[in-house]
Amino acid sequence: MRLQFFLKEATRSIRRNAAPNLAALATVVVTLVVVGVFIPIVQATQGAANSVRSRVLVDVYMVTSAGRGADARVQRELQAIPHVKRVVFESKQQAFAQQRAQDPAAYALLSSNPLPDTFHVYPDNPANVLAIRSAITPTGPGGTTRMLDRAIASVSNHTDDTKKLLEVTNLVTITAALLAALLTVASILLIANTIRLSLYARRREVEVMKLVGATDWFIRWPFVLEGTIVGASGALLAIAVLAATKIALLDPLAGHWTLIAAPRTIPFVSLVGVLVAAGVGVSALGSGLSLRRFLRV
Amino acid sequence: MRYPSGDTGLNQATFQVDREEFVFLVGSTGSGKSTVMRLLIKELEPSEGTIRVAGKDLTRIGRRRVPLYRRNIGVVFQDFKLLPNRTVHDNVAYALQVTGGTRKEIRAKVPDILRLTGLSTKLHNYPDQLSGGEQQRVAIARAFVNHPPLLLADEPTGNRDPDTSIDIMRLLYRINRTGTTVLVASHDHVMVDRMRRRVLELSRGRIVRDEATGLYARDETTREFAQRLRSTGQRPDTV
Repeated sequence: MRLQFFLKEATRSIRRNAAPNLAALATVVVTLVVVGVFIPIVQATQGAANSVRSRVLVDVYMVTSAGRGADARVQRELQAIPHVKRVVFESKQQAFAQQRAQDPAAYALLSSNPLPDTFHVYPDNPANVLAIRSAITPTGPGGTTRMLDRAIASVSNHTDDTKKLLEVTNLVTITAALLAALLTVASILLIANTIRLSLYARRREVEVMKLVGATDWFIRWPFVLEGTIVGASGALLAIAVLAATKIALLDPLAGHWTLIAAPRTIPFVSLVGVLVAAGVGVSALGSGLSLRRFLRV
Repeated sequence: MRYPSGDTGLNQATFQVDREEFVFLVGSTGSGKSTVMRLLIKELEPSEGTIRVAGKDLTRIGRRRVPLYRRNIGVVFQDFKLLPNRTVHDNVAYALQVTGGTRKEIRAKVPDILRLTGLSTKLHNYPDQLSGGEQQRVAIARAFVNHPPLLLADEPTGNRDPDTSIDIMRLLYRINRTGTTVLVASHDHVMVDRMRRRVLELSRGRIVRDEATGLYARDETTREFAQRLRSTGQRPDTV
């Protein structure tokens, strides 16, 4: 009986206050569409940054004279370095075969194999790659660098590239996170403000209800329900817009553009869940809380 | 009673109203009539002194219990305070719904009270489609639909033509006859004189006349007394 009454009150109030509720609805739809577009974009960006970062590694080149014994020893030493996740050995024959396959003409001219044995050292976290590098080439007391093992000829020398790569991907991740936070705050403020405006227009009504003897929650429930209904319909509309966009624009493109097909983006079903929860939660809470000011009679 | 602005609304106004009494509260604008009403529904808190309604000290009613307390009092506000988005029927029904009245109760009581107030034909009109006198009667219907033990009416005949005023007074009189204590604030001297009920007169927040207890201008200064005589001589409110 009670719930039925509150529901009836809420729907009646939506009908009678169509204009402010339409404004609130539009606000919810617009912000949720923006959020719904933005969440996958942020995730795709981060996914791309992460996949770039996962390619960061240290190449260790052995001296050409190194034999089986030296290779095994160096491999053990490399694996003992902290933050090393994986050490992959590539023999000079494998390297030669791979290079020749890429450029047969150039390698046909070579009489012997000039390539050394190589270890690819993968860090557990891309940020640790420089630490691993300096562990392989420790700085001596005189400021000179020497190798971890005499059998190591050199270490791949793209320190600068690695540094830049790490900085750029970090920047991308942080910027995306900041933008997401800002957007969330902006949407909450926007929705809350619209609700407050529509409630402000009805503060007299609330005052009368109080003077007639209504308890705070008796007045509040219809408003909360109203907010829930407006929020839910806003979320559903936003989802409809997003779904149409996804089916019409993104899905045909996904095959051609890997960023869109990035496996790490949120599945559409979860996105729907997040949007509905956000729309309903913010609207209902916003209505309930905004009303507090007008209930002090 | 002092307002936050520093203005004094009521000053040492002590009076007692018995059950089933019909009392007029008179006095010029700003004399404190509305302040009495607002204090009685706990819309305002007295800065000093105590108010007892049905033996209960109002300062002891907590914020959460105020709505429950207000359900025992029917109030007809000076500006009606009808809900603009509801029909006549729904405005009256709201007072019942607030107290948890069932649909059956609403279906039984609302048409009854609307018939009593002569609003049966305006059931589905919205307040802005009604005349002032009709809105007034809706306000009375809403105040009385719960049959509260106490009914407050602030200027129920303010700016009404004499016929409407008499109708409204008769309605209040009938309500009083059912056992409800009625307190009416008014500056309509003609009406008050005609009704021949107990009259409390306020002036600048003080009780200056109480015809039932034989208290005449006990608190009144000579100057106030003279002023009152002059104003009653002119009868500015008669239409």
